[in-house]
Amino acid sequence: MSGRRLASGGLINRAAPVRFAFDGRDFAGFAGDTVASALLANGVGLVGRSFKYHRPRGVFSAGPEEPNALVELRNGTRREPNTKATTAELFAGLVARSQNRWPSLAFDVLAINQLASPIFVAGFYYKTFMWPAVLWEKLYEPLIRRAAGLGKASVETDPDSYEKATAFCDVLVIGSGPAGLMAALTAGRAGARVIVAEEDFPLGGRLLAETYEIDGMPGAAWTAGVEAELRALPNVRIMRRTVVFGVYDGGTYGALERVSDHLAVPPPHQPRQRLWKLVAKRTVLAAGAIERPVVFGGNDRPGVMLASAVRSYANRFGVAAGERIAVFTTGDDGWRTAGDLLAQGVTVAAVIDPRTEVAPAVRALAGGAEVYLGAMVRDAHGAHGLRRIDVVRADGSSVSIAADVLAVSGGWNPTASLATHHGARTEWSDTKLAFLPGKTPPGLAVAGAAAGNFTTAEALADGVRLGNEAAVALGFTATSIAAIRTSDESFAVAPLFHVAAARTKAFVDLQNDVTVKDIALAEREGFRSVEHLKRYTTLGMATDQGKTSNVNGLAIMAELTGRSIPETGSTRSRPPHVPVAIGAFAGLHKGLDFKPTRLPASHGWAVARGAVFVETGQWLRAQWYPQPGETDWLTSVTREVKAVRGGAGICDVSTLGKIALEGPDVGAFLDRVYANMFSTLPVGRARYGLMLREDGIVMDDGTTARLADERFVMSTTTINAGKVMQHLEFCHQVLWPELDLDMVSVTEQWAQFAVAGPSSRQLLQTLFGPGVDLSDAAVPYMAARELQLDSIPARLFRLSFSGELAYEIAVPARFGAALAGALVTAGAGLGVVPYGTEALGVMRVEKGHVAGNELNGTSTAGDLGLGRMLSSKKDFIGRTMAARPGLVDPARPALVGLRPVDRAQRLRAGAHFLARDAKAEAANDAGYMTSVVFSPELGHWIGLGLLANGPQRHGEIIRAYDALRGEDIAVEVVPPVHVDPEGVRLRG
Amino acid sequence: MGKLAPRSAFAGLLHSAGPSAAPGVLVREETGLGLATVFARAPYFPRLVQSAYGIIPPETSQVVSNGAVAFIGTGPGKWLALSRNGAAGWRDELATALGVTGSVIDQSDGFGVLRVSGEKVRATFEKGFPVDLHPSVFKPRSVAVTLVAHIGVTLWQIDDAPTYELAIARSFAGSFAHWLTSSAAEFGLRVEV
Repeated sequence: MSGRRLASGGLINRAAPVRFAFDGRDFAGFAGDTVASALLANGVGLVGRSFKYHRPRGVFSAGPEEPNALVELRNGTRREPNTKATTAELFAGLVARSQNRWPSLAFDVLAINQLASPIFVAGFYYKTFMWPAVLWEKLYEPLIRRAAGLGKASVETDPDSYEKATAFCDVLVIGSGPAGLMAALTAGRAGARVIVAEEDFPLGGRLLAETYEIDGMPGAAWTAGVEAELRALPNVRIMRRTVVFGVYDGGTYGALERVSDHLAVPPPHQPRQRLWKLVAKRTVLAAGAIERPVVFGGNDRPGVMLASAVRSYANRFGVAAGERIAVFTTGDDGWRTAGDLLAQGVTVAAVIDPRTEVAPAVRALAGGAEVYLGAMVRDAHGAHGLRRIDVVRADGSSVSIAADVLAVSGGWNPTASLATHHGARTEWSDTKLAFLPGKTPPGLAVAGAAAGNFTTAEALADGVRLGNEAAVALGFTATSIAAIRTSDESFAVAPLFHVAAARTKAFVDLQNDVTVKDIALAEREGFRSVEHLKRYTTLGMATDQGKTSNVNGLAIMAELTGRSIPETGSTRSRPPHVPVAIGAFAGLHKGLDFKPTRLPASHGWAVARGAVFVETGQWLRAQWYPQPGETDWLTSVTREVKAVRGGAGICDVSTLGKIALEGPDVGAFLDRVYANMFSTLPVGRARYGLMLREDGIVMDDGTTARLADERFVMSTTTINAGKVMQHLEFCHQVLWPELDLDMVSVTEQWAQFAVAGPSSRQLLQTLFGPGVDLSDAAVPYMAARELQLDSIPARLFRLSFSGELAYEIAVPARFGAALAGALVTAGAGLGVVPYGTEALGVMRVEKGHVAGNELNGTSTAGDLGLGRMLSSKKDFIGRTMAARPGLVDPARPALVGLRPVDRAQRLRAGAHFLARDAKAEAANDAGYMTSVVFSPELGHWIGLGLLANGPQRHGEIIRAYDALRGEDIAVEVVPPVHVDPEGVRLRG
Repeated sequence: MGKLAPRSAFAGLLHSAGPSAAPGVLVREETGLGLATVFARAPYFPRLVQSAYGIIPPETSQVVSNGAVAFIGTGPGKWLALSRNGAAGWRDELATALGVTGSVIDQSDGFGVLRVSGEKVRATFEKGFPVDLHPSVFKPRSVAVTLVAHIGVTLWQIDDAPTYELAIARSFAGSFAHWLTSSAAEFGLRVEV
């Protein structure tokens, strides 16, 4: 046992013991513990194996900077790898496992990697596995992945839910240490809307881990007082367990709230985590600082810890990290660890400081412990836990000291990475021995230790000043805060980043097993810039993002290259500041809720009739309606097509875009946006229109009807409805604002059904009753009428996509479901069937109508056989560009019909066209099959395709070559209209 | 043929969820509303609205109401005109009142309208609306045209309770109801009729 719970003290609740398990063993901790503090309290020093060499590792820190103590938390579907034991709150029944070890934590087979360490140097995979390259995927990568890598993710579906939310404030305060608390209090008292985001579960930051007094109170008690006042202010919102991970544009911040991570299972209706978008007018970044280690031999041994962490465990968690604790510090701060430990009755084995002189008050903190000034720790020893350290004095003599924990302090690195998210770099300060924030994102100011103002007094003063500044900038009146008394602290520190005399492996980045030798190798091989250094050695990557290694790595590179630290580079980071689960970014939008689903008014009616549905964009449309006994789609679809062509069918076409256009200039507007003429369209008529993009390619097609002189309704394809609306708005608002018209989407207003087939007129007559004249003379082909259906406004269009006598009827959407039923009732004696999008597609291919497969963003009007629609009497969008030589080349693939020479053969969409004797290679590609269907009318498969010189090749036999399915069949080129080419049926 | 039976946008889609005692959020579908998109086409448009309904259409994102009829500002020179007297004839009535000074397009069936209130309505809306609904910013008569869970929503505030009304395109009603139910469940959602 190398650690223990102290008899008293700490902010844990000793009245609330909590049972948990680690690697199958049962342990007890207290409410208020982290997994790390509870393990240390139980004397568990070994918590994991390292990434590359599988070396034993222990708890290194007491916060989110932890590189070593990563565990798998929870079981089964909730298993969560790479969880930092230092931030995971203990809860009853918590189950954690160590990672990256096999078969057990104490005995790990792959620790043999250490013997092979010469091949695991920086860039090893580029070098070792260079040849033969074909083995990468099959051999090298799986091998490396098994050997390296950390925890394993659950591959099961996450049973928990996630939410996304947005909150607004005047002042966002990031962090709740002394600076953050005072910034929040001053801004809050001034009346500003304040959000305080604290990553930890209590407020207080370092105040919880120190023994300083503020206003005569322990830090934690003072914090509680401030928190109480903040909670009483209605304009202040405190968000605990919330980490701000990114700074975005316009005062937008990304934050993650761990709503239920501290519970075994989220409470009912609570998410596991909530992703916040915080929008702030001003921000005070008071994220504190992270202690910097010193690199020496064996510095990764379990028991080598940050001095501030040892202090946190003693003061906040009531845990002595070890029984004989040595302190190695380059500044005054480490001596406080010795002082706090002694005050708790823990044995301090020695204090080692490379400085030869230390202020008497600081020296006094070590009490009666052995003190080595002008000395350094050269190497640490102890395979599964620290046993002794070798200390080297200035004169070169060395001494070996027994210790089970070594508390290391090399100064502090401000947590200013959020301030660099807009691209600014941090700047090195020789006086603070730290990188300080440079230019900050707009509206963001940095306070306290994050700004390099490390003492409590400085932090409190910074908070007051910046909280007031933010409030005043927003028009609030500054508040005065009485001077706050704090314990005296000194913050002298000497530069020491690594001990060059180390004789054993010295680790710079514990998480990625990057050693001083790796940095030296990178330097020798020319990877000297910090960016190259990071990528070549992996220094600073993975879950801790180098929070305890980047600066040391950079300083070592500076030494190796004989440059100063600022000459060598600076640190800069990108969001996210801490890892964020993808699930949190997805929020509710997973599975079927990945995107919203749009349902036409008849959806429930179609469900009741057993329809099979297909997604078309966001819409769900009925694809076909299987009848009892029908087991495959082709049977159902063929039946539906035959029923339509033999009698009548109805199909919901509400999903097509519908745009109302009103005003005296609609005709002129349509002439410009459509390739063909619309201003001449008579009232009561509809016309097929073709819309081009500016570049001359076809954008969309549809029919537009003129309901009254100044009132039109346009239809678009389902897929392009939004795009066409956007295009028309752009044309009106930007290109021709002088045209007097208004437009709005009415897609949602009208439920619209195609009623098709030779009996369709009879069906509608039954529906409307004898009082409405539906004769060919009254409602001719392409007529558009506004009618009443049982005093409900209705619209009737005589349009046909199927090639049959056909109509489209529209009613206000609330009546859509009822109309579907009424149409079927009206057609009961006529053999009416509902038909889906598949039958619709079959009939349109039979008729050679182009659809999405042909309007594919690369085809011109000419390619689609619609060249004659391009009006020469007016200008329109796309006209000039459509005349480019490349777009009018007769050799361009153009629309043809196809049928298999052997009528029993099936056609395949996507098959490429080749001349009969051509070799199957790209140079001979003559186009491809765009759409194929089985034609019930013809009794064989038919297709549409885009074929080079297609219209001149009717009657030719070519090949449809489908390399994907290994098919190569002879097909005959025919005109695109396969059925009723004269259009006799259409006119009824 | 018999009369066609209407079906409202949210029919069968709203379900109470979460704690049922003292629910934090109350929701009710407002049926029987007349809705129309209205564009101003001539300078004397506001005067015609005023003479017909006694209110002047707001020029910003505000809603102005006479109790029965409301003009909800959704864009420059563009309103959603709402009548609590039903959909039948609403478009024609407005078109007659406005003549050539405005375009009127019926949207009574294009949107479902929900009335949402309760102590936790802001806490719920925070999970979807990227809009600052704090009472110092968004007040009775304020309007927002925005996106919630990738669904277009027009939101306006009725009173300080706070009570809001929301117009959602009809086809999205199911997806919106899913978002609302999921987001309000922790506070308790009660569907009122």
